[in-house]
Amino acid sequence: MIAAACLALVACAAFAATMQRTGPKILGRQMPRRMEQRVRLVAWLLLGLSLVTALREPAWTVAFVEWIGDLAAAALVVAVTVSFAPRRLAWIVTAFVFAGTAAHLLR
Amino acid sequence: MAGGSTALKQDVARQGFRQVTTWLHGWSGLVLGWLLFAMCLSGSLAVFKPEIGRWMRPEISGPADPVRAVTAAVAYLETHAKGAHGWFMNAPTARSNVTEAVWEDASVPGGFRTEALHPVTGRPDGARHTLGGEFFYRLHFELQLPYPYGRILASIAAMFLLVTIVSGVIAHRRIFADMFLFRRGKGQRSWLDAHNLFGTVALPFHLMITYSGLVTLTTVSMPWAIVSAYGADIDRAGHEFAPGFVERPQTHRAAPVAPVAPMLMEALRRFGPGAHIGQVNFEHPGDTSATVSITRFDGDQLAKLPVVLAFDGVTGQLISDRTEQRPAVKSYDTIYGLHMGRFGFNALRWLYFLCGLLLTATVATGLILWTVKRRDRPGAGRANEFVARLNIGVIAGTPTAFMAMFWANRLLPETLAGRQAMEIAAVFWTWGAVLVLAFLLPSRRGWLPLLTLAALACAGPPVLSLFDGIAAAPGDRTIVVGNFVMLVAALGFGAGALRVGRRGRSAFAKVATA
Repeated sequence: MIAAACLALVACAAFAATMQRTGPKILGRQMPRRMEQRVRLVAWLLLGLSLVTALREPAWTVAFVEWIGDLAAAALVVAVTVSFAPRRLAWIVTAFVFAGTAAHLLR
Repeated sequence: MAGGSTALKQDVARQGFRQVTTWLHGWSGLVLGWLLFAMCLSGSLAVFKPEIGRWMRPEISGPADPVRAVTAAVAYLETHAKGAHGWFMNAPTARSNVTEAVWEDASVPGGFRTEALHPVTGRPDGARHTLGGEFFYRLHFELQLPYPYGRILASIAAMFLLVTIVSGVIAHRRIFADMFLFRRGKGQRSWLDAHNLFGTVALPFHLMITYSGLVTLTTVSMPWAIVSAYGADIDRAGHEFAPGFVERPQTHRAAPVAPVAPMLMEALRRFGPGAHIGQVNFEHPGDTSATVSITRFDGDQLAKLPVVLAFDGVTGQLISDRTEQRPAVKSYDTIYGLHMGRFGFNALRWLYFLCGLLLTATVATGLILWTVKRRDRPGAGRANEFVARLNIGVIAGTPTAFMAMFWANRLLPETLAGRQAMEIAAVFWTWGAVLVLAFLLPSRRGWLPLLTLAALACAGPPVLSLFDGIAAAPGDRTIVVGNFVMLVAALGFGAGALRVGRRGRSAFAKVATA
């Protein structure tokens, strides 16, 4: 489930970077149109991959509910970061992914 | 020209639709908004019902053996609940270490006694007498009103919330385009951003929890299907809905209750490896018609109560072994289980808590937006003032009132008679007091004292824990985690109070230097 949560977080961050109002805050400028489309596609793929990862759990029904919660938590982390430290979004997401990987390996 | 006028008409129709939806969203959110705030907050706390129970009964710590606990509980009920129509118990689980028992007792208001029975002695007096998390769980859908009025009101409120959420998705235009946007320090715009943010990030959860909440109360909100199929014969409806819980006509001939431990062992054997005991219900105990129903604990799957075994209460023989297979009932059980969120592990429980708080925050910011939007309109006047004060009283006051129970739990003497009722009275007296306070203070000045009060109310119990000498068993972290959550809440309210205080001073400075 940690993998699904991390993928959802990266997907949310990518979505935020392509959005009209939050994109410039994060990147310092508007993303070129072509690139925006590509990043958005990647974000959708990551989100799909996150869902697939969750559904591969043995108790997939419970995992699906947890995925909905993961999505909310991931979106909240991105929104709070974009509001208080938008230029550090990439660092913070990376830190979360590292922490998640470490937690997974230590278990 | 014709094409142009059609487009114009369509445009007007679309704008009109959005306007109507915005109106609907505002009013459906406002009318029962304060009640919904309390329901959402108590529901979020109810996610940790067993853990709150453990925090409030520190005398009982460490895990409990379900078979031993239920056996002890039955021994207690045999002498102290004689003649009750039934005994209904939840066995201890990995999370709860007491037997939760309910039985008829004409001497208590409502006619039913709810007790947490000690896992070893089976008696209710081994720990301080408290409802624990059960209070927040019941408050969430019964609103401390007599049956069925609380449930009817809760279900109407849930209906309003569902309308508000769906209309909100239409009324707030850019919620998905601006999903991660929160602009700070911009007055009304900031409130709107926060409202959209809290509402959107957990939107699937909000829809799920509201709809499934309505479904759990469906016999109250939509009783007509049952009436048309069964008429007044509610007992038959109940039996056909849950046939696994066998009930036989009372004979009024006395017979001793069979030992419960062999039935529990047989149930565990039939449930298979890894399964636990869930509910243990006695119908007509002490009568020759007695039956005992035992369910498999449903904490490892979405649907509630999958397997029910029924035993003859006198001979102890198995009379029925039923696994629910009917699709309609299974769907209902799954939606019901989804709302309760008993399944899964810690991470999921915290996510339920987080999403519940996000819904609470969406309701709160929505209520505040109502007044912020109208504050400077001509003729906003008294009605807006009323809403503003009620907002302060409810949004800052409800957490304070809920915390009163935690204070009372630690401060009232352990052996005081009637302390269970006093803990609840503390909640409602505090609630009344903060509401009165909100109406006495000028509306723009009410936030600071009431948020400060909420911060102190949350910080109190963890600070008290430094002096009360209560120590849990090694490895039992419930009390520590509970105290930590309260401190985080205290910091949150404290930060809110500081912000309001600073804003108040700068407004004062502006007036003073003008």
